[in-house]
Amino acid sequence: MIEVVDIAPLASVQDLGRAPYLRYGVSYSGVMDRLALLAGNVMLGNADDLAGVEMQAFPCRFRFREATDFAVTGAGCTVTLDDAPVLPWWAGRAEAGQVLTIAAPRRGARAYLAVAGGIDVPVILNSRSTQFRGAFGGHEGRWLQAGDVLPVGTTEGTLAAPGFGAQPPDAALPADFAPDDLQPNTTAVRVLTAGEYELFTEESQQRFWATGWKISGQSNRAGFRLLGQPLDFAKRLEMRSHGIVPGIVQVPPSGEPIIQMSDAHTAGGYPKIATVIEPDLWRLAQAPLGSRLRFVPVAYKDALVAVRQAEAWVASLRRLSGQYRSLCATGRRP
Amino acid sequence: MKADEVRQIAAWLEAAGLDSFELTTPTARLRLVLGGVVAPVAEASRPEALPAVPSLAARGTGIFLDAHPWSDAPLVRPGQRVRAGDIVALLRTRALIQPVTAAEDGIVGAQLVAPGTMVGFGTPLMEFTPETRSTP
Repeated sequence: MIEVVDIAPLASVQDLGRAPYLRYGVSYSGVMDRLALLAGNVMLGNADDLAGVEMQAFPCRFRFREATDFAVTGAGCTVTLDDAPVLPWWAGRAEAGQVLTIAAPRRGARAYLAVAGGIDVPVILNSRSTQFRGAFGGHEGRWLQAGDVLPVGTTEGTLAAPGFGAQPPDAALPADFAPDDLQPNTTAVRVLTAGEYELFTEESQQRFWATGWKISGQSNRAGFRLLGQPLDFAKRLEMRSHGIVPGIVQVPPSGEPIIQMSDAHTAGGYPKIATVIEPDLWRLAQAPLGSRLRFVPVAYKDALVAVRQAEAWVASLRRLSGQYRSLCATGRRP
Repeated sequence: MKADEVRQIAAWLEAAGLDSFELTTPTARLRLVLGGVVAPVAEASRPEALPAVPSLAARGTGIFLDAHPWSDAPLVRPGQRVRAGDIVALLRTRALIQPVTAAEDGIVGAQLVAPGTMVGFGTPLMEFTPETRSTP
């Protein structure tokens, strides 16, 4: 069991989401940064689909009732276990009664706490993710509050102090596709052009690529609203609602793009100009409010290469973490 | 190095499907070749620059890092007093980052390898002067 001692708003229990239920109108839910939760689970030897805690505001404080292996990934936060510093992207062991504090990040936006055995809330519609609109899943279908007690799946912890780390993915999967004129405080993400790209004027198509779109304060797990000179339609089109997935970039009549994220509706009718590729969704998840985004066109086959690169990084971490944990378990910790 | 350690290394080599192994320490050089007798190794020249003071050595292989990849500040600075178990450096192997810890209380000295260098088991990483913890 983990006690939520202190929690800033907007923290929730999430896993990798409910993709199979999109067709029934149940939104995806799940973590915003899949790579970060996946890495945490992989470092601990958990199944990939176990749940952790997503934090979007800080500080957050958790007390471990029993000795527990844990990992903190995602944003570069100042993390301490009692008074001892914990490095970013680190897996360690907390003894019974120890308190883990995750303070405001110096880079990135969202931090993840994974524990060996996972946060063991009931599985509903194939997932432990919190579904806010339907108020189910996760911990009582809601954001976490101070005083909540989260169950942890049973497992044998094997980590010894001081644990081990993972190379943060921005180093392993560098944004070498970013344009040369990328401004500071700007995240580049690769996109495939979408069905209605041709509806925009040529000038607006160029501007879509050239603009550093600002992520507005009205952005959240459902979507990012972007600020910039509105895009112009060459031809207005009334569309029926159709299925949408996280990463889709829609342009409502106002002309300022919206990127659909984990808690997006499952259908929408705005024209789609592009789709952020799945292996870059973690970059979006770590882009803070007020920072800027650049869209970079990518060919479908290069998007598949990006998927494989991310998978290779996870596979490498899985194999090496497994070896390191077994060294710890046999007392031959390097 | 003790005979049972050599035997253990040979067993690991066999388990890993490797057929040869070389280890150089400040005082000895070991070469193991599985599956046959080979000509003796030419007399190893002793490394010239032995650390002047006791040093802290790598207990794994990887790329030596004196700071976390996300930090400009080194984990420890020369002259810093550390406790047994404190992380003083990191070794990165692809996606994995292993901690290098102080085996006992002491004071770290100068770095002996440059950050970004690939190091092997036993490579001295930084000077280290053990301290006896004063008992009150």
